[in-house]
Formats: sequence, structure tokens, C-alpha cells
Amino acid sequence: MLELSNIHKRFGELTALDGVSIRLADARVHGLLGENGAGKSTLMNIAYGLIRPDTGRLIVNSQDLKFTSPAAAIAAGIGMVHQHFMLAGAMSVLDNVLLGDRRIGQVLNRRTEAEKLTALADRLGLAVDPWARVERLSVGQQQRVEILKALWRDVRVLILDEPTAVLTPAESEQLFGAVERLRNEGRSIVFISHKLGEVKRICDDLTVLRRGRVAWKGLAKEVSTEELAHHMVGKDVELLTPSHRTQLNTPKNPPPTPTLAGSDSSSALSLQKVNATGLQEICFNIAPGEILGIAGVDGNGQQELAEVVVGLRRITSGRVTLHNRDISPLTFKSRLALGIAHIPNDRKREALVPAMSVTENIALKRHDHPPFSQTGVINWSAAANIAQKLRNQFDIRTTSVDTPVTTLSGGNQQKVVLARELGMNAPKLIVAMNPVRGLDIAATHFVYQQLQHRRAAGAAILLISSEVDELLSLCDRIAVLYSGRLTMTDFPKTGRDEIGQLMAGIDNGRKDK
Amino acid sequence: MNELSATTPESSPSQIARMLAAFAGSLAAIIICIALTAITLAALPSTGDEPHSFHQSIQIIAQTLWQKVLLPRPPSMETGYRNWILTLQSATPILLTGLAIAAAFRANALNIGTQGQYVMGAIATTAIGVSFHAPALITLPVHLAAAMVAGALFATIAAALDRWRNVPVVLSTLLLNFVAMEFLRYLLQGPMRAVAEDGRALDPQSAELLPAAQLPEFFAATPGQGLSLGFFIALAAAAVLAFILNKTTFGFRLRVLGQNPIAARFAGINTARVSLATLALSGALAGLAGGVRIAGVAQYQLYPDVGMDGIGFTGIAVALLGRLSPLGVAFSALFFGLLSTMFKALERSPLEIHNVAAQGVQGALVIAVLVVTSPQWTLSLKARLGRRNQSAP
Repeated sequence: MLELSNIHKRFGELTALDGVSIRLADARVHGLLGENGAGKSTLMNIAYGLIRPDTGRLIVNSQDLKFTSPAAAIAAGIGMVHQHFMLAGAMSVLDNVLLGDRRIGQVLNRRTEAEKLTALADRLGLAVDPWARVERLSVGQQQRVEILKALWRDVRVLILDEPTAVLTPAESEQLFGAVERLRNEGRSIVFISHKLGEVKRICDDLTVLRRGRVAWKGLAKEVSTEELAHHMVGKDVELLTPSHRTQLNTPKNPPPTPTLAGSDSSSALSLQKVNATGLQEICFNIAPGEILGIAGVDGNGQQELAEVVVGLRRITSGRVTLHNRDISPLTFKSRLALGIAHIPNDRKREALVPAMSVTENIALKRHDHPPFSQTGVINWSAAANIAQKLRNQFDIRTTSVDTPVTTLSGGNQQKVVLARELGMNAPKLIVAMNPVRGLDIAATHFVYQQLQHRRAAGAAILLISSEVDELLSLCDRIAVLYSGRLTMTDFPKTGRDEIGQLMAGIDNGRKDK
Repeated sequence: MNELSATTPESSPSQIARMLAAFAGSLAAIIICIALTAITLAALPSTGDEPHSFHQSIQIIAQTLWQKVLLPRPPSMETGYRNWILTLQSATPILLTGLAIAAAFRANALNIGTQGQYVMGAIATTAIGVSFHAPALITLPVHLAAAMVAGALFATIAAALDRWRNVPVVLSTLLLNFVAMEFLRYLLQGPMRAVAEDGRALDPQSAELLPAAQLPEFFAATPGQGLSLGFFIALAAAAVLAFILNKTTFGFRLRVLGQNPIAARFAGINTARVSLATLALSGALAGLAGGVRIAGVAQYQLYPDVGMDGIGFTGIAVALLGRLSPLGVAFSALFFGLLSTMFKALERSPLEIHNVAAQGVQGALVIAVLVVTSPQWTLSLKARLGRRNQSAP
């Protein structure tokens, strides 16, 4: 039996886990639910020794343990199948399984070992050819190899991190069968997921995490999927109070009437039947001075949607128009000139060059235009002056504009992004994805204020976020993205819970809406 | 070299301090390196006729270092400033290949084919220099430009393979080195082989460059012993590269690509085009090194050993020691030139240390210096020390 007690873990300013306790009993399947960033994977990586907690206890069979590495966790009988497989593709199934074998000083008879492996696989209903090369196998079969690799070492606790995310429905069924057989053998299984239906079906105990805390725990059979969705998304408005919302939501323009899909002369941005990798038949309009919120759990097409709109990803069919101009054939660079601001999801990876100075990051997207440069030569003193002005305007806290942005706090880094995207000329369209992720309250308010400010100035804003509260308090309309498909809601008539269910893929027959 | 330091952007005091700190680290490493070299060489069994004690050996090395490397010998008609000139002459080609590496590495394009590009440059210069009859003012720019184009085109092969067939640059550039070396051997056996006046084929080597194709030399006590114009060309190349990296939009794109290719894409930078242009620039610098090597060193001819002289590979060490900044590379090349003069002097000293032993020691020490001065190493050391201080009560 494994128990994690009162685990705390911070990454920089972000609290990933805030006093989480979980107890895994033998011969039970324990479901771990939560949105992305809720702390599920962090918690299990701690159990597997990949991450060290700041405080908290780890108890295996009523013994306190210190897990310093996966090797220690494996020795204590804990195995984990990661979302991204850790297999050697060019090697056979058998070799991959034997890689984790800890027997020493013996001569391996691969034929005997292969027979043992086949026997184990058959017992669990996870049949796979021991001699096949792993890279030739389907994703579902590769996952079987990962599971067999863990079980080869006879683990008592098996952690499956979002195992069905990569599986077809039929493969999922086979996996569920194997999970049941493992439980009947007396093992403890942790099943991480955000698919409510399957979790309720195969789990005995459930723990729901939200923002690094246990939001709910109990027996799977005593809870409905609706209640689970509710626990996952939460209902307490933590970031903005209602009064704040009214105060922020006073646009100069009258609130635009929601428009149906299709070209509309009054819309700033319009997507018509857009198909691309990860996106299916996306249709929506945004009017000038309107914020359209896209809710959804990460990985359901959000990144793809943002990239399609700004021009970083090609569409396979459909049309993207900006103020009635078809921009689908335009490159990212030429769309930039039309006044599209982009606040990407991952500021350190996508928006900024951390090792470079504030000035250089301000100049990044317009370095080849005056006043930053002329005939290919950059005017660094002009750039520094602009950066200096923006630093005051956006209250970027830094000792100097020559400082590398990596030394700035997360909030101030995001301010550099905002200053570059919003501060230099009035954008017509703003595409923002999770713009306040990892920021503290003050910085969060600053970002919201800036977006509201731009909306009042007539910009159309596409706000993609996995935080429902953020969307509820900022947006004029909300749509939900789930596995690449977009569903428009009747927000504000549609409530938080209903949005939460749509995010989890529960669609109460409102498809034709 | 004041024009170099002037080209860094916004020379605020903090930045200058940071630069000085970075160079102080390298300088300290260099001094330690020379001291260690002396000790190691002194400890080696003497290859000379008479045995020397460790104490004597150190004394001889120090004396040689001081009198024959650092101090100019008393200026006389025969020798002039021979040792200083020797240092600058050996620094010249590695300064250029060092710049080639620095340009590529700043964009994270791992061009380790500078040796091959250098050979192609040497071939181009030789081909034109032995046959092109024109005044020096025309011949010199033409054959050096040809060397740069040859190097650039040769590097572009790797860029094209990367772009269209996904071949890693590090692999293709490495393998292209051997292509260039074999090509050189073939040329010197056949088409470019010098022929004596009576029609007999000479050793596999090219004819001498026409006088107009030879770079002018300065401070020469005897012809062929002076400081070639090539050194000043290399210095100018360092200044130009510093300007490109720090002041131009292309240089900015190059640096962004090297620091964060994803952010480069999200900023609308055509990353494929930038990396292609970077490799071409890098190849051009390496090619120029080849041209300057042939047209700037006495004999003024191409022979098979040029393919394996390691000038291109040494550029990697030079660039890394110079922290990939053009000014740093210039200093680092001078240091390597100094080492080379020192080893030559030691070979002629009573210790008679063989050049091969000296090179072995040099290689080992370069690795040590690189480890000690690498920013990652310094950072992790700082972090470790910081943690120790924290845990201390």
C-alpha cells in the first residue's frame, strides 16, 4: 500500500501541489482526475521519484521512504507508464522489457525469457509479439510494451498517466480488461485521466485535483459524471469578483449581437469551415470590440487554433478572413503587418528569447522595420528608447532594458510580451492563449486590464484558456473546443457547469445548436 | 582593436563590466594553461642530448618563453621581430576559421566542416593565383573572393542537405571535410600538380602563386619572413563579423535563431533562410582562411599537408575559447598563435621538446580550458557553492 501525505511542491512562483494527500489501497483502481495543470502528473511523478516534493511524506507499507530516483521507486514496487513512451524503437519488444531487468550475474536465455513474457502478456490479455521491433508497432501495442515492462519487475503499484489519450476505443477496451485483471491479482492501479466516463467505469476510488488541491475524494460508484465535472472545474470565482467584472465590462461600443457562422460584414475575424491538423470544421466570427472565449482542456486543438489564426499553421480547407479580406493564403509575416497581435501559450519558449535583453525582445517582431532598423542596420539606441518608453508605460520592473528577460519575474516577462504586442500600435485582432498562466494576482489583473483596454479601443480578441473562471469574467461569448471541434454556447445563459461538461466531452445533445 | 569593442551594442557600464568579467575568466584560464604547459613539458623526459633536472627544465622553458616568445629579440638585420611576426602569422588562419565557427555556432548551426571549407578556399585561391595574369590590385581581391565563394558553396551543400533531406548539419559538414581532403589530393596528383621546366612531374604539390597573387608582407627582415597582409584582413573580418552580429537585422535574426528557434518562428523569422545564409557566411570565412593561408605564407603554394593541418578544426577551439564573440575570437587566436611560437622555440631550445609532444599537451590543455571557462560549468559551480552556503548554519 502506498500513501502520499500532505505533499507540497512549488515551481518558482507557481504552486503545483498545496497539501495533497492520497492513499492507494491494494486491489483497487484509483482514478486521479483534474484539468491540465491541476497537479495530477506532478503528484505521480513525485510518487515515482522523478520530482522531489518540497515537504510531505511518502509511506509504503507503513514505512516512511525517501524517493530520490525512479530506481528507488521501482525497488519499492512502484511502476509508471508515462504519457509519452520511453521505449527504444529500434529494439525488439523483448529487449525493451529486459532493459528494465535488474537481475545481475546471469546469462540471459532470450528464448526462455520470451516464453515468460508471452505467458505474462497472455495472462493479462495484452498479447504482443516479443520479437517485433517496437517502432513497427501501433501506439496501442507500444503502450502494452510499456505496461509489460513495468509488470516484468513485479510492481505492486502501477501508475498509468493518461493511458487512453493515445488509444482507439477498441484498444481502450482491451486496456480496461487488463486493468481489471491486474486489480484482481491484488495490485494497486492509479489511473490518471480527464475523461469522466471511463474513469467512472473502471475506477473504484476517485480523487479530483484542482489547482494543486484535493477538490473531492470518494467512491466512484457514489458520484455522477455531472458532479465530477463540477468538482473538476470548480465554482468559486477566485480571480475576479463580480463587481470587478462589471467594472471591467463597460465597453465603449454597445455589446455586439452574436453572429452566426458565415461571412458577416460587421465581423473583424471570421473562420469558415476551417480544417487543419487537429481541427475540424471550425466556424466563428468575432466583431470589433468583442472578446470570444475558447474554453477547453489543453490538447484539444487550442494551440492549433491559435496558430491557424495567426498564420503559423496551414489550413487544409476553409477560409480565414480579417475585416472581409481573405487572409488564408497570407504568411505569418504578412499577417503581422495587418495588425494581428499574438500572445502565445508558452512565453519563455514561444514569445521570448530569454537570454536576450528587454530591448532585443521588444524589437523581436519588428526589427526589420523603421524605427528599429533602416536598410538592414539596426538602430539600437532608437530601440532602447522605445523599450524604455514601454517599460514605463507597462510598468516592467527591471533594473535596465539591457537586462536579459530571463532574470525578470514571470509577470514582468509577460509584460514584455504585452508591451511588444499591444504597446506599439493598435492591434485589430489579439490572439491570446492562457495569457495569465503562472502569474500572480497583481500581474493577472494587469493582463486582464490590458485586454479590456484593447477591447474598448475596438480590437477583436480571441481568448483561448483552460481557466473557465477567466473566460466567464472576461468574455462576451464563449465557445468550447473539444477534440478539435468547436461548440458555441449560449453564454451568459450557459453556466459554468455546462461549460465544464462540454470541456470534458459530455455533450447533452446540443450538437446542432 | 578599438573598432571591435566599439561595435558592441549599447556599451553601458554594466555591460562593459560583464564583458570584462567574461574575458578575465578566459585570461586567467590562459595564464594557468601556459603555466601548466611549462610544468608538464618540464616533467617530460628530455629528448635532448643531455639530461636536465626538473628545475633546470623550468628555467629553460621560462627563459625561452620570455626571450624568444614574449620579448622581441634584439632587433637585428637578420631576425627583426621574428617571434612576434611568427605569432601573428600563425594566428591569422585560425582567427578566420574561429570566426567561421563563431558565426555558425551563434546560430546553433553546428558547422564542423571548416577544415573542408578552408581546403576549398585554398584550392580556389591557388587555381586562380597560379594562372591569372593581372596586377595585384585585381588578382588579390579576385582570388580571395573566389576562396570565399568556394568555402560558402561547399558549406551550402550541408545546408541544402539539411533543408531538403533532413541530414544533420553536424554530420554532413564533418563528412564533407574528407571529401575536400581527397579532392585536394586528387588535384595535386593530377590537374594542379607542378611541373618542372624540363617537363618532369615534381612532388605532388602545386606551382607557386604568381608574384601578383601573393599577399604583400610587412616588417620583413628577409623576403618571405614578414607579416602578411592576411593578418590585417583577418582583423578586418573580425570587425565586419562583429558589425554583422550586433548591428544588422540579419545578425539579429541569426542570434535569435541560435538562442530560441521556436521564438524565431513565432516572430515570423524565416528560419530556413537564416540558417542557410549563416552556413554560407561561415563557409565564406573558412574559405577566406584557406585563401589567406596560401597567398600569405612563404612558398605560396598548395601541398597535400594543407588538407590535414587542422586549421579548420583548431577554429572550433579558438571560437569556444573566445566565447563565440568576434573580439574574443581575435584574442583567443592570438593565444593559440603564441602557443605555436612557444612550441617552435622550445623545439630549438636545449630541451629539444618534440613538436608532437607539445601538440599533445596543447590539445589536452585546450580541453581543460574549455571546461573551466564554459558558462555552464561556472554556473553549476556557483549553484553548488550557493547551496553549500545556504545549508551552512
